[in-house]
Amino acid sequence: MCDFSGRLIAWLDRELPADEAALVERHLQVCLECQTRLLAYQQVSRTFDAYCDAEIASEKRPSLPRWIPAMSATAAAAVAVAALFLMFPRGLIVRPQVNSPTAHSSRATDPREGAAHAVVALETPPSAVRRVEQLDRRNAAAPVPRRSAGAARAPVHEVGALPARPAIEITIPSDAMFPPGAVPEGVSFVAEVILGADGSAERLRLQPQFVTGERRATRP
Amino acid sequence: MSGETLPLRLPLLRFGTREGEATALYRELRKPLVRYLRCLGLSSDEAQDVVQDAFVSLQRHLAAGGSQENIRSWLYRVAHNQARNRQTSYDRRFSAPLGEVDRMSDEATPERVVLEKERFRRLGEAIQLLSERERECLLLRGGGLRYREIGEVLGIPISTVGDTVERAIKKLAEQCNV
Repeated sequence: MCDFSGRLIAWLDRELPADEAALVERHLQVCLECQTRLLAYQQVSRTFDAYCDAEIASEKRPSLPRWIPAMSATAAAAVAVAALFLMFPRGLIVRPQVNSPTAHSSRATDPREGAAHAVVALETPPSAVRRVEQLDRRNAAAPVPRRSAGAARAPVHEVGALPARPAIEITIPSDAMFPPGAVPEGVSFVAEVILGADGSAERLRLQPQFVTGERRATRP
Repeated sequence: MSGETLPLRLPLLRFGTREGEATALYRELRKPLVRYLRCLGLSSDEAQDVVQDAFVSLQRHLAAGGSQENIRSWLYRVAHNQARNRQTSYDRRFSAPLGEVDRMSDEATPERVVLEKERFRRLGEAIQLLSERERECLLLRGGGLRYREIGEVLGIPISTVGDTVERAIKKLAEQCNV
């Protein structure tokens, strides 16, 4: 067996130091045996990932909550992005991300809305469709965003403080709540967030809102 | 509207005013974490719960002045340990061979489906031969974690991770004969 065969998988995973990786690459140019092995390792890694995804996908999807109105079955398969903007200390503000910004502006700034309301806006981006071909492990290794050196110098007392502007943006992909396609375009949700004593959200009550022709007419 | 509510707990990520980073972290890591937990054998609901809990723990960790280094492996480790604690049938995920493969190919030709089914069948058998540790390493690797991070999640040295991944991949490749 070739001397380099023990380093192929580490090379595949980009775990070798640069000089060693260069050696492996040079060797791969001339060694058919290692090329074949590498392909096999690549293939089996990809199949393993796809197998896991298929296992998950083959499980039965949860049924719709009863209060979701019956909707067109042809609604686009979709991941939906939902954004909650919560504001402290005046409760939670309402600021739909996708719908007309003016539609909710009065609600957003109305202090009487202190009773904790927020809008969850749903949209259907084209990236929703999952493709098996994208399971390449080497593309999956995205670095985790870290704070920059400047960010690290941010005043410590800000942690846990209650800023005057919206402090939190929580994204809830709709596929975490609903099966794909269950929520057609143009439907948004108003969420009542009930806060617990420690300030964390204990319960969320969603009420669907239908974007009617009336709202569209407000557009220029 | 009836009084039904979703039992959805939201992690309130209050990292000072750096809400953008917190949101980006949640957006980036929620899905891979859920995927990892589900591959370990948790149900969809359990996995969502564990991930929410992990982010709540992260919030507390950071609020208490905890380290901001290696947040990704920190989250995976917390989720991993919680999963192990609540898990009753750890190997359920890989205990049954996969039935339905067709759905996963968008442009599946009949030949491709047959080929894929055969490949999956062999892989399913080969996975049974892996140790728990080997599976965990491959799952974390599939989630895009570096060997260093996998070591942090599982509490093993990085060299052990490299050896384990290599052994596992070689086992699978040998069995699948690909």
